[in-house]
Amino acid sequence: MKEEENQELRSGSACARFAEDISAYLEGEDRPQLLSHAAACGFCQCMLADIQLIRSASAELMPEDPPLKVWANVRLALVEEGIIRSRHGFWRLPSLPSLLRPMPMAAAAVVVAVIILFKAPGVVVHPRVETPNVIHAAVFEQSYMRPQDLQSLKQTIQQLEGAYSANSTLLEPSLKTTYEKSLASLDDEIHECQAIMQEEPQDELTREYLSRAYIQKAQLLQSALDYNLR
Amino acid sequence: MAQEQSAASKAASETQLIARAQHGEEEAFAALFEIHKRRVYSLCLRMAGDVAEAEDLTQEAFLQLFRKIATFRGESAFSTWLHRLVVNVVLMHLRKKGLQKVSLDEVDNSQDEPVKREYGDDDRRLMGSIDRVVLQAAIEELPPGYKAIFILHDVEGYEHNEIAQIMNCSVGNSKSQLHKARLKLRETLRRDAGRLAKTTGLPS
Repeated sequence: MKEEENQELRSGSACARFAEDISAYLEGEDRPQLLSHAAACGFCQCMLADIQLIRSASAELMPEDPPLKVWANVRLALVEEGIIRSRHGFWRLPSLPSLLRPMPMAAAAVVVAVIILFKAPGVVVHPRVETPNVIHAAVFEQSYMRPQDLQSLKQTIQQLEGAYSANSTLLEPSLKTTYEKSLASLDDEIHECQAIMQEEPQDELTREYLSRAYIQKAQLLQSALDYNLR
Repeated sequence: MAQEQSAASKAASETQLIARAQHGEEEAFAALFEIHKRRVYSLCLRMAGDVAEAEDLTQEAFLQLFRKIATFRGESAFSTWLHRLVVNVVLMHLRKKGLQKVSLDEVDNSQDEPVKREYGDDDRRLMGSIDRVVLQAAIEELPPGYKAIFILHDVEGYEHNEIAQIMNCSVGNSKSQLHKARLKLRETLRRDAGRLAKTTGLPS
């Protein structure tokens, strides 16, 4: 009797039933005959083990993040089509998290704090330092700069950095720390944009971000020199 | 209980985001993109098998989504709606490329083939674990209809009733296509393991 049962379990019709039932079994339905057959039939046992292995390996495949430019391109198209109604300025947009993280907020906070400190009574006022005041208002208005403008702005930043380094010891320590955190954050953004530009020199959006980051940095350095190193 | 509450609050906040996006608020579009970008991009990447194509497809899918978001009335789950759109974008792309003839309205049954039983190699099973890269390459070889259902079910974790909505097919069709996809995948993995064994002299 036992031998007959085993023969039945190993028969072709049992294999056909196994093939019909395997999906339901893998979906969590109760199929005791399927397991009995798998125990007696090497072919079906192997199939069950393989499919279970494929399922578990597939479930462990990690999702991947798209590159930043995907959102940047989507956003740009939505703005051009008038679908997005932006309420904020460029740097407040939450579209490129790593480009935005602490920099714009910190830079804005520093500028505001500097103005408040400067105007507050009892604040130590340092002697004024002459700075290369060559950043024209028109440059700040631009979202895109020609390569020669960008080059000129880089030179200005270098001059401002020189002046800042020479005089930064005059800053209040806490203010200096805040400035330098903001400058470091801006430098990170600049490096990130430069890395993207190296891979994709024609990426207009990144060029725009890079221009903005340079402008922000120049403004920040200028504000440190104008308002604090006196 | 805590998980149910969290899922409910997630759904509520997504509903709010959708409503805000329907009014053109940028933050809402950005937040919806953030929530769904990984699953959408991964689906595109696995379906297309090419990074540049996956980026373009993700971009196209989100653009279509946001252009149509005003018409979303919540009859189905947002993620199901989104994934239906993504699958259509990808299948349309593959159709344009002319690689495979793919039906967008129902799963193409012309891909059906009977499972070949290879007698005499009962004990040659896939060993231990499957390398991620090998598995991804094998998934890429699947015909698009099988591939979409396999990725949605076994990789992304969708249920058959959701896949039926996404793929516009019956639940039964989804189940049978999934089974065939798994068998096809197994065949590919066993073939590759066999080739590797011949090359290296190691057992497969």
